[in-house]
Amino acid sequence: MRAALRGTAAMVRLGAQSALHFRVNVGISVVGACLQAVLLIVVWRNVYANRQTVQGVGVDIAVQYAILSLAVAHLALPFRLSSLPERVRQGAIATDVIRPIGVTSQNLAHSVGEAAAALPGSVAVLIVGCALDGISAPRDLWAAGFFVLSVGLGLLMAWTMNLTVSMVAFWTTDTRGTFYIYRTLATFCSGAIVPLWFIPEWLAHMLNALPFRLQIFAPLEIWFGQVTYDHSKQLLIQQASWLAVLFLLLHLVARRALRVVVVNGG
Amino acid sequence: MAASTLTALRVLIRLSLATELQYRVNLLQSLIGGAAAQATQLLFIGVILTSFGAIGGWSASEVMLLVGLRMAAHAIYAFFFRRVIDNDRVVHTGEFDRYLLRPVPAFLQLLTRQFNLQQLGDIFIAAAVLGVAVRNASIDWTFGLALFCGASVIGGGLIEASLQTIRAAAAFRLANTDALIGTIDSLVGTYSNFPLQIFGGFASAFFTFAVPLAFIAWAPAAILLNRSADLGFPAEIAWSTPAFGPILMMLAVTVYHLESRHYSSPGS
Repeated sequence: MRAALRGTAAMVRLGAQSALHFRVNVGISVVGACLQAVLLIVVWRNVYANRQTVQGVGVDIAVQYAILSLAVAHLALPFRLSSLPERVRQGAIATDVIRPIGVTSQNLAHSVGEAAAALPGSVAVLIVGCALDGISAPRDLWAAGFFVLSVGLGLLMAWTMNLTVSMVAFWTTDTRGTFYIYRTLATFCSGAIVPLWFIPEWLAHMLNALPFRLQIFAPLEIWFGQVTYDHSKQLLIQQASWLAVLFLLLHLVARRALRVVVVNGG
Repeated sequence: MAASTLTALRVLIRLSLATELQYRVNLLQSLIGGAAAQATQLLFIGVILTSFGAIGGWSASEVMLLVGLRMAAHAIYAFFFRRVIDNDRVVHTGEFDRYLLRPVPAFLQLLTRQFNLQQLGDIFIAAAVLGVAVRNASIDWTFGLALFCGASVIGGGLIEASLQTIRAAAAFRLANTDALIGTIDSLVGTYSNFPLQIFGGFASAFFTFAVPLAFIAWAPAAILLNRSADLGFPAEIAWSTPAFGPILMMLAVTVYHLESRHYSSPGS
């Protein structure tokens, strides 16, 4: 057990190191995230123009939502969903398979490490948001605590789904189509680009049945105090239940994938 | 371009097309994926327009024309130039070594390393959106205006291609430019959909003269809609939009070839 934990921690470190190795890239990612934060604030303030509220949502809430969702999405939906497809393509998957911890654990840990390296971008977005009066404190300490827990569970859900989709690399070397479709679904349905308050009701019902909204929208509902204390707890239970289902799905897909693994160049 | 170069180019295109057509299911998936990538921005702007009706004084149908032009320009870029995003991999794996040996310019080899058949998805969705938007917008069409519209779409595509080409050139020194690809995609894909006057004087100037997003769709849309007063610069400059794309692209390709001198082979 201790050896497995040590191995997982090493993979987290490796993920962070491999991302931080390209320092200029990390720097550009931080600058790009800040630029997007500024632009989003300007866009939302301008689309509201002189309106106080639209569909019950005020401009301050919309701006705050845009900043917080950008900060979370920066970690949940990176430009490269996972390093797995590249490792399959290059044949490095052979090394992964012979390591003492499972391929899924390794890759999930790697994603956590990469997200840790992306953390400066998210922090910078929050700083820009505060500097431009775009963020205010949550309703109370409970909301803050539940928010942190909910973001953590949401990120775990996102990384698990990212990795499950990445497994398509075991069947096809060209993963672009699958990735674009998944990214579109995940970005829109999670509320990463537009708050789900503005979605038509019929579509909102459909999105409630999917796990995406629990990745970004649900934590932000808690932050804004738009759900009661009991509802917050229900959301956390829903996230944990979905996470268990997604883990199971990942393991099932991984088991089938590892039966068809081809070691390129091996 | 020498006849031998053209022959080599034809061979490269035929090879990359054959590669794409070999796996039909993958191709279908890629076509849907290409359309889905465009759909993200369409959904974003669609939800905002449904809820707010107008942006920066432009009505929903006017904003949709802007979005249609932007998507059409992106489709031009995606179909002809999308492979520039592969330059990081080409440099890492040493594939660029091969480019140096063949009698075709390295940049053309990069563009033809894979045929962008999947980007037909981008083209279908962009054509549909632009078609509907043109029908709904009130434009006094003349032959000159129609010509300007077509040339602007091509010019807009070349501007996006030039931004990504300069980014690709940076890969020879930086090795990893993922963040830049994402930033350019996001800037062009999301913020070019808005009438840029909403960003205010400084940001509008930045998007006009530093990162020329203004000429991808905003300036052409303002001319078509007779809204050049919103631009903040003379309408004559907006009328010159179709020329900016080719000029910027030529500059970008020159930068790419100059920067390729910093390529160091991984020893493949």
